[in-house]
Amino acid sequence: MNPIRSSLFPAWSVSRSGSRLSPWSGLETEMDRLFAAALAAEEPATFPVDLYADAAATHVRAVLPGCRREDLRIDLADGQLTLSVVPTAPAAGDAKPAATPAEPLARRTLAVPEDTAADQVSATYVDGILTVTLPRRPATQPRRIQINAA
Amino acid sequence: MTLFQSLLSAPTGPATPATLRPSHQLTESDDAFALTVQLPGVARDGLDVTVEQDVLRVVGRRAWTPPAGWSALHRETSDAPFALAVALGQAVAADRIAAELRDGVLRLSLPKAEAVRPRRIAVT
Repeated sequence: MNPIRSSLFPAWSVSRSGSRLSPWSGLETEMDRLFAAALAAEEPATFPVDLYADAAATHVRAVLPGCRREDLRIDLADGQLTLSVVPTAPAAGDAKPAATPAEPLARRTLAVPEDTAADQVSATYVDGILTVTLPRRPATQPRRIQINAA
Repeated sequence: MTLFQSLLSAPTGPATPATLRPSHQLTESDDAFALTVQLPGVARDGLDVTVEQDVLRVVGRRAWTPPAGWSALHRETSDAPFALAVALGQAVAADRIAAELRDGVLRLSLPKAEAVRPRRIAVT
């Protein structure tokens, strides 16, 4: 397909080589570079997740291929589930040795349902997919308080 | 063609592509190439690695389907199978290719054919 003909950008903005030119192109590039540099220093990578629900629980399936189980961290606090990959010790032949061991390579935070039973959360790691199961607490029954006779 | 039509036919690709090209990395050492392919969700049963007419093909199907009663709340992944084709040319000894699949990552060792391996010539 001809990339120029099907482009959404007007013809004048497309150079002969097919790259897009705009009056701001130099500035955009510079801003992108600055943002990328600023973000790269602080933000770990992210990864895709799928969310499922059944009658008893919410299930999070996170795509994290090639992780060592000991590097996977699952934290549940204040209604937030945080999944992160934190290299514990550099493995032999590891492609991405961490600069500082405590710094996560990847991280994702999700809000979890309020009625999650935090003490029953479980997780499995199969074929590079981390599945976290967040069971729901049974619905709280309304309780009637008896007034004791004085 | 109106602008609206051109937007509709904009090259965004189909919503559900037939196959997905997996993320992969090729490195080279003196006597072999190493190909690492990210195949999350692919088990050994769903993986096909073939070499035919000097083309290496990796096809990975995701076997997982939601158990009965599960409903999707939010999806960021696709169910489409992964497919990757790499032209090897004459550079690889196809009969000595080794493959290992672990935790959704396929690691292929592609030993170089004798003809392309670097040779040190002793100067006498």
